[in-house]
This record gives sequence, structure tokens and C-alpha cells, in this order.
Amino acid sequence: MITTLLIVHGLLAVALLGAITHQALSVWWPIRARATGFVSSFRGVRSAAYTNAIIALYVVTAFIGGVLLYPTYRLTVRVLLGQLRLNAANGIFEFKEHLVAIGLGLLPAYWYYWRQPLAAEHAGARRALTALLALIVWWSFLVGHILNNIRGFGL
Amino acid sequence: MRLLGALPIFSAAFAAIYAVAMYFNIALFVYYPAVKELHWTDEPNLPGPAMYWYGWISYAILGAAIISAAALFLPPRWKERIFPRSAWAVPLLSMLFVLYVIRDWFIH
Repeated sequence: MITTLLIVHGLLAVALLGAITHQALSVWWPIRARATGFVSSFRGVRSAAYTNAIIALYVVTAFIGGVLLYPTYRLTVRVLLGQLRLNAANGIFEFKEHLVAIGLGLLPAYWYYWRQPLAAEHAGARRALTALLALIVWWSFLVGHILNNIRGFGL
Repeated sequence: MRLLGALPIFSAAFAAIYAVAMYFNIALFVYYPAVKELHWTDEPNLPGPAMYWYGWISYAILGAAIISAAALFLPPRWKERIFPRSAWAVPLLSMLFVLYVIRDWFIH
């Protein structure tokens, strides 16, 4: 059951990573002309359309990770990392835990500033919030991947 | 519509309260995964580990809800100046603060 949840958590994280990266690039590096290449097309999306999907994916991914998987992690993986003296691995997960919590709190402001119609005077807040959320999602994804490589399955 | 205007300050307050709750370990409740029990306070007799994360988040939600409700009564001019910046600046500072608090994991 835990392995299944871990895989679902990972798949949702991939979708979230793609969505937030599309949106972050489109606001920080917008295209000036019609998109033709892969990178331009990746940046040239209707960024506001991603907002609700990003919020839903974030909440569901955090719920599976934080509520359904985290207790097992604390009981098994964290103890093992301590025994192996992998302090940095424990530390990067601790930071992930805190970032995800702060990210959950960030979602109301993120939704507010991405509401349609987009207010031009809030473009700066939108860019900053999207960048923070992208940072949190990227960090969480990479840390999850690293820890999964250390001790992921067969919990 | 006016209520929605409090959302940015909710995010700012949430991040700040979460960081403070984590630093001082003020949790609304404690979860013991080994026995699957929730308690309002630490129960040293129960098998560990104790999980405070849910309690910190709950504390932050409660505190941020109160602060953002109070912030609705601020003059509109203040809201327009403070809210957009605080919505991302406070969480960013909170993230850096948390990283500083847990630095021992990386230097020992």
C-alpha cells in the first residue's frame, strides 16, 4: 500500500513540477514573438490557465505525502538515516517538510493574485509567488527522489 | 469580495507563525505514529517519535485566520501597499529562517 501511494505521490509530483515550471517560465521569461521551437513553446503557455490545477495538484500531493506517507517515513526511513549517520539526507528532508508547509500557506495569496482578470499592478507579486512555489516544488521533488533512492520501497 | 482581499495577509501570517511555532515547538497537538494517537500535549510515556508538524501547521492556520480577519479593517491604502509585498517576502524570509534553524543537520 505504501509503495503504491509512493508511486502515486511521485506521479502527481511530476505533473505538478511540469505545470509550475511552465507557469514560472512563462512569467519570468515570456516569449516576444510567436513560439516555434520547443523552449519557446514551453514558455509560451497561457500561464493563468495552470493556476487551479497547480493548487489542486499541490494540495493532493502534499496530502498523500504529508498525511499518508510521512508517519511511515518517520517510523522507518528517518530512523535508518540516523543510524547510517546520513545527517545531510535527514536535513534536506527536514527542509522539504518546512517548505511544503509554507507552500501550503502560500496558496491563498497565489490564487488571489492569479485570479482572472489578471491585475496588471500585481504582476510583480504573481511572479514572486510563482517563483517561490516553483522553488518549493523543485526542492521537494529532488529531495523526494534522492531519499527514495536511499530507502524508498519495501517499507 | 472584500473577504478575499485578506488572502495575501493570510499567506504572510501563516509563514511567519509557522516559523515561530517550529522554532519554539509550539504545536496545537502532537501525533504519535507508532500508536496512531493524537494528543494535545507531549506524552513522554508513549513510544516515539512524536510528530509536531501537523500541530505547527494547525497553529499557523488558526493564527493566520485571526490575523487576516483583523487585517480586513486596515485602511485600503495600507492594504494595497503592504499586502502584495508581504505575501511573498514574509514566506521567503520564513524559509531562510527555517533553513538557519535547522543548519545543524548540514554542518555536523
